[in-house]
Amino acid sequence: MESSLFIKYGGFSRIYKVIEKFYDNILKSETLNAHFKHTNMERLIHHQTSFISSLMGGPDYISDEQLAQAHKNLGINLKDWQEMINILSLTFSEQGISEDDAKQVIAKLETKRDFIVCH
Amino acid sequence: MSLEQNNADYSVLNYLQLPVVVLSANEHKVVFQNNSFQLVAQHYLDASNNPTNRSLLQLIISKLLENDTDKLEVEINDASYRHIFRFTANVVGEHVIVEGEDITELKRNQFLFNRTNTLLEDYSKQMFELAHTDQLTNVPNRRALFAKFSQLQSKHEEFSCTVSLIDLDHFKRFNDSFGHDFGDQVLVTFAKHVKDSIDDTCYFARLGGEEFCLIQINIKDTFCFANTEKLLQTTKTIKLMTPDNSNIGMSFSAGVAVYGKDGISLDELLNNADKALYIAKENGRSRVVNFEGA
Repeated sequence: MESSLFIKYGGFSRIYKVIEKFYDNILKSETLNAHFKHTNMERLIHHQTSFISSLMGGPDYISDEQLAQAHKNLGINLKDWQEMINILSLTFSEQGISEDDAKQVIAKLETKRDFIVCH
Repeated sequence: MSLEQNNADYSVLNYLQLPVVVLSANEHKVVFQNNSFQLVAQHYLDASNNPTNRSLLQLIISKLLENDTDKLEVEINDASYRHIFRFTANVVGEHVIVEGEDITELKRNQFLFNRTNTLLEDYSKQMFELAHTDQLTNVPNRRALFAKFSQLQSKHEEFSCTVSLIDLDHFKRFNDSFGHDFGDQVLVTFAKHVKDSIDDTCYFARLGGEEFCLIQINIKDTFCFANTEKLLQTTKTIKLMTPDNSNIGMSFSAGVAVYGKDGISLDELLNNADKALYIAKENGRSRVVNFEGA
């Protein structure tokens, strides 16, 4: 099996905990928490764990088309995106993901921005 | 019975960590709610994912009791408080006792189990592919060939096939004259040529070295022989560029054995095809020989 950040950080179980903390932090954000008023957080955490795992070299999860489809009516703007990136960086740091590894994951996430942010 | 009396009866429920609420069976009026339920209900009211701002009690009454469902799952997300409860109702005399089980961990573990299971299945498929594929030519290997033969034999009652054992001519000379990389290129080119030339009625595998096997399934023997002959002719048209920039051709010798006549097991068929292959080589290579006529 190829070495990856997914393996390095303990696979789904560890990344799940990181994502749980990420959403705890998201819900504390005045900019972002309104987006999650009617959201089933459990399902969202499951999706996000699978998605971030794939960015960390875990199994493929979602195509760019599916990603765009899932976000098209959510009205996420650039300010929201930047806030989300900041919170994710903070969460990675809180959860013991090294700065270099966090940068690597966020750089991969940035390649998906156009499929998530509304234009 | 007064509410105070009921409270006295149920106050023991305050020792439980799980949220419990007791309602009258007919009118669904609250008789007792334990401390844990009150705490959970407060978090529910404060939660960001409570779309209607209605109370947990109202939700339980409308979804669980009035809809007469078995269970109700409620997710509560109040920033640092994230729990999922499964509420169930039991009628005890004139009362309905609703209790909530915290299934947050269960849900998490179910998800992790499912994802890990999928991951293991994917790895298992990859491992299977690796174990059954020749790394150089990317065609099935000897192990895969025997597994496929056995599967075909057991699956089809009127199974028939021919087995062509193919050996690339002068392969050692390619390796010795132009190096192993060129030898590998010969093998890859030949394997690709065969893959591109055959259809679903054939199964092609590398047995090892420069030896390959082509099984043609449920096709008349004479056609199979002709097909292998045709494959030889098209292989002879392939030109390879050697490291010293000259063109070089390739050919093969093959021995053919027929299922039933020349053997039943693959070992037996390969053994007899090998005898025919030996004759093909003895007679100058670049030819296909039937075991029957060998």
